Amino acid sequence: MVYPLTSEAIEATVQKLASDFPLLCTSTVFDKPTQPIDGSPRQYSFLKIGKGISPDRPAALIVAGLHARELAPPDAVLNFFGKLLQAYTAGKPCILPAFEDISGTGYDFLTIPNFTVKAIIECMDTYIVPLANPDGRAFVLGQLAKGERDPQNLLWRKNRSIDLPTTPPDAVGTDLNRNFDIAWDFDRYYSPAVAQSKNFLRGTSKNPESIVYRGPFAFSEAETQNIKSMLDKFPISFYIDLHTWGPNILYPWSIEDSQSFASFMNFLNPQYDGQRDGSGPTRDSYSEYFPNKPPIRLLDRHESIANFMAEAIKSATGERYDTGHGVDLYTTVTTEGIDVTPTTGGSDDYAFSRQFDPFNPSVMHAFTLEAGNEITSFVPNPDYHYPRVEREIHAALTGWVSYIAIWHGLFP
Amino acid sequence: MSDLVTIQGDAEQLSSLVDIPTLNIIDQSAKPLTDTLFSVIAYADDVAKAAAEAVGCTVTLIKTEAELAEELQRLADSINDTPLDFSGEIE
Repeated sequence: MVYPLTSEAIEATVQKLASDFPLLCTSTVFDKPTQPIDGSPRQYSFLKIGKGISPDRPAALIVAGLHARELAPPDAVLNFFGKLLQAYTAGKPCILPAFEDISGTGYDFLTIPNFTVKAIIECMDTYIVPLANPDGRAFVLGQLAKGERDPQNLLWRKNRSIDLPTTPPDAVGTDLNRNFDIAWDFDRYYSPAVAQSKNFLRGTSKNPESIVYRGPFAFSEAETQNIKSMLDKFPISFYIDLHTWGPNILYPWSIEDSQSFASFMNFLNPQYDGQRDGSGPTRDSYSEYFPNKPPIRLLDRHESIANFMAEAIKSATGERYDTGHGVDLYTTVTTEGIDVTPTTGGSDDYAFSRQFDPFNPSVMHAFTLEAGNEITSFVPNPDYHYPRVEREIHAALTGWVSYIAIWHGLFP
Repeated sequence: MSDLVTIQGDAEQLSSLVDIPTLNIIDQSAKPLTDTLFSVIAYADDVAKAAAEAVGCTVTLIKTEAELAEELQRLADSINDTPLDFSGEIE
């Protein structure tokens, strides 16, 4: 494979998959086109993969490319499902080829057995947004093609929309992974000591010039509205958001530390507004509720799935991933010191939070994969970093969808 | 442009580096190594690296500026505008 794919090539791949595998795969154009400052409104699509109509089959949503500079996940997810569809059609196992990186490190074949390929296609529905921020990616690759070589200038993270016609160039874009409606209004959610701390504001910001700008209001962006509409329309109970870099596998919460004993202590309870204390060893007056009651034991299940994915990655690449609550795995340095950094408006926390809706209390499993490491970084060398990050994503996805298609079917 | 580096130090040492203009510590890249020792990933020029070492931090090179530029050139050369094709037989 030759990477990175342009935004146009990703959209064309989506359409081609749907036309090459019409009985297994459909593509749908999102209702809302993007609104970039530096181009025309852009139509883009999502995929649905699955064969069968059993009402009990689980549905999963995979999102990649929310952050523009994180180039590998969109390519990797399309390559994974393309090979899976090809294998299913041929009635063969899915074999992801062995390769050797430039340092001479060899990576063996990654084989998804025939039984598992069949289960992924026939026992679940998989919805895929391979490129959730097409304008951002187009901007990064456009800068690269124009000769920009300073990595710090190429690290564009946000989309390319503007709040107002008078927005200055430095204030273009919203960090889509801060724009979902979960503790988005962080001044109301947290105590002033947290919401105004330098540490917190490095993770989420009201300043349009910040790379973590949350947008003018929750779901202000077409890109996040489109993901919300999928969660509204489809019976999705598994969600994963693919990013670089970690190496980490995260699950909620990222807005706060977690507890499983006091269900009333949750983000919906206005009694705690303005008092929530963020995360850290000295901040134990508030923790967000993460259900773990039998028979589902949702927290235990999240830990098991994350560890299952981490083992799959280690087995395939040797890379050790940390797993845990999002808030525990993000730490920031400021002039005030080093501290864990809560983040608000994230897609995984939002997807997870939907099960607290009293009118729609269906169980949700939510994860974020942060693939690769500081060496592979945001702009991986296509010769030897890209295949490695891709292998990590493929191994993680193999573990994740296998769990859903096989184990969740047996023990829902 | 700058090198990509890892900087190790305690909280006080690392916090003292935040305002150096030619040091760009990547947000949320801090990882605890022990109870008191942390590492961060940063873009740093020679002045910033020297400042970090002067306060007692350990600076380890990940990629030089030249290596970063070479990787970016390779990335630019390989931008692919052709859709992936899975319609053929499995190899």
